[in-house]
Amino acid sequence: MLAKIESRSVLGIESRKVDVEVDIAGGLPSFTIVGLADTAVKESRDRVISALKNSGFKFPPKRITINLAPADLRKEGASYDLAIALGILAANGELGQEIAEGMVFCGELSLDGRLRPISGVLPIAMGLAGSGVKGLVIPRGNSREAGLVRGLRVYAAVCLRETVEFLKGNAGIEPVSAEGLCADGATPGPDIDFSDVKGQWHVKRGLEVAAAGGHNVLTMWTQCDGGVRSGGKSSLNIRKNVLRGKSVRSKILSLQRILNSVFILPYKKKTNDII
Amino acid sequence: MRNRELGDLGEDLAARYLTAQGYIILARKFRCRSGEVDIIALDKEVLVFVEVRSRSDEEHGMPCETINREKRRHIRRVALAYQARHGLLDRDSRFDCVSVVFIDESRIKSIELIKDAFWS
Repeated sequence: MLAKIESRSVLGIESRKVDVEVDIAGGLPSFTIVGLADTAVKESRDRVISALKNSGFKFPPKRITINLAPADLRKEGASYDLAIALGILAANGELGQEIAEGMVFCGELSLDGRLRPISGVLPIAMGLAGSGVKGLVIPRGNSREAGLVRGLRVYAAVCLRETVEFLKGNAGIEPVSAEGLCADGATPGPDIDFSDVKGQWHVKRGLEVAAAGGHNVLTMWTQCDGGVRSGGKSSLNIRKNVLRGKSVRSKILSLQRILNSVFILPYKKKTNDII
Repeated sequence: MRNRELGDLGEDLAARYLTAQGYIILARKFRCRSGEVDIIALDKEVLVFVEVRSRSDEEHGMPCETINREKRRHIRRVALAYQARHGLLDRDSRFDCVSVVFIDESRIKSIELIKDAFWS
């Protein structure tokens, strides 16, 4: 039988659609992966076989052919493991092909069936946001990256078994909620900025430096050096939020997108915030 | 000569063992241009190509470990030839291996069946 599962590959900082086609036929048992796959992808064969068996699924001794389409796109890394495993289950009739329709799967499998975090979740999620897919399934260890993206339902699964039960509707996985970037929220402030403020160059400069470094700021007025009340402290403070708000968010996001296309993002253990 | 006899004896024992396990023996010593498969059998619906390995001691490792890549390639070719000849190319198939370890000519130390021993 034939099955098709959708996955994604990262090309630079963009993501491309990759269809994982699985065909299971009778004959001498073999397992072939075609479609310009590198060594890590070819090796997924052994990971997938062990993961399926250790998750309690049957693994058929049949002629299994896996095609990663489009054939002219180079496939690297282990992130197709999950899609390949689900494709085998679907082609083997253990999972209905229609329930995986419109979903995208990325994740590396460990031999016991658990999902290991992969690099590139942020570019993948950003590429999928607003594209109309039903959802993206990723390893639990990548939920922080995926949580940065809005406009996409992301499900972070622990293992292959959980993913299958979720698809069958037997178990629920809460979608990852899109959160802010830093501990202090970094919410986009009101739509005002320093263009409303005349002069006060030294204050603006100070606030900019503080915002860039993520420092705290104390603004105060003093009588002794000729300061005045209502000199614009609050007014400046509100406008400072713009620096840390929307514009910074998009900048951080694009920086992390570049970083994440190669690495898994580091994060602070305590708060789960991405550094 | 002695090794040959040991091998034949091992094959007989393996065939009996497989029958006891519910296999239906279809052919013994199936030969074609590319080589030979010791036993071809049916395990329920699945066509099984069995390689039997006999040893007089375990000192140099388990008998099954002696099936190297070259041997696997031969078995695979013969299996394909058998399937083609009998119109069974689409049939679910499997490669099994039976290890027979002898103490002497009349006694065996162990007999072990490894199902789905390798993939082509």
